[in-house]
Amino acid sequence: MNDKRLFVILLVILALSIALLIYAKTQVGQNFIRQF
Amino acid sequence: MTEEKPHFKLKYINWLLVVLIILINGYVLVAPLLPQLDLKKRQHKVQAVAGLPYKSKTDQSKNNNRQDIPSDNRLVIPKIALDQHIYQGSAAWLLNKGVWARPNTSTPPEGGNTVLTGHRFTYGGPATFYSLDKLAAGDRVVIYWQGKEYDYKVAKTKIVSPSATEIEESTDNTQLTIFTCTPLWTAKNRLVVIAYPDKELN
Repeated sequence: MNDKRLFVILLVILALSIALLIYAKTQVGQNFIRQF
Repeated sequence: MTEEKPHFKLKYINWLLVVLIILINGYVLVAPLLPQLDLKKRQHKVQAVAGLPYKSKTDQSKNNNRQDIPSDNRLVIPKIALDQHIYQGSAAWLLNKGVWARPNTSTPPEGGNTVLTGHRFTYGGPATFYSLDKLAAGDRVVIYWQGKEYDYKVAKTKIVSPSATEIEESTDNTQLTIFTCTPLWTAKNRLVVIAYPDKELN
């Protein structure tokens, strides 16, 4: 595969991974006390 | 030759991106399992933890000049190797430090409903009650409160909805309520453990 195309694909995957990490850090288990 | 240089660099950058992607996703996938490994590691020390709070039933010196009672307020659950400070206050961020005594609920010396809560699992935060689901009726829970020991025995566990605020209501009888999130890694419901004073030890 062309290195440039691979670079773009990897960049997109990295962006999605960072989004997943931010979601995990801010959402998982964090909001459980709000309804009390 | 001069045209190949950028491609050569791009190849290295691509490898760097692959490593970053593996590290980030590896952390997201593996971190939720780490408290389980940690529990297994701590269970090797469980005898030491269990040895801290308990005197034998025949020990008449309970609460009298005890040297082993911690000076701070603590929750100890030997079965899940839990031994943590109990934080008091009205700020919900105390959850991020460990066990939080819910405001407007009782305390062990007052009787009534003492309510403790903590995170089940958070990324980068404490997994205070990660193994709370392992508790069953008959398991022992100990609270150290203002230099005194209060022994409880788990009576039942139940799962309620997040809106079931009645678990924090005051009760006529002395009881300990511990709750956290369930199922693991979600905040969908609440796992509630209810324990009553252990009459043999108190």
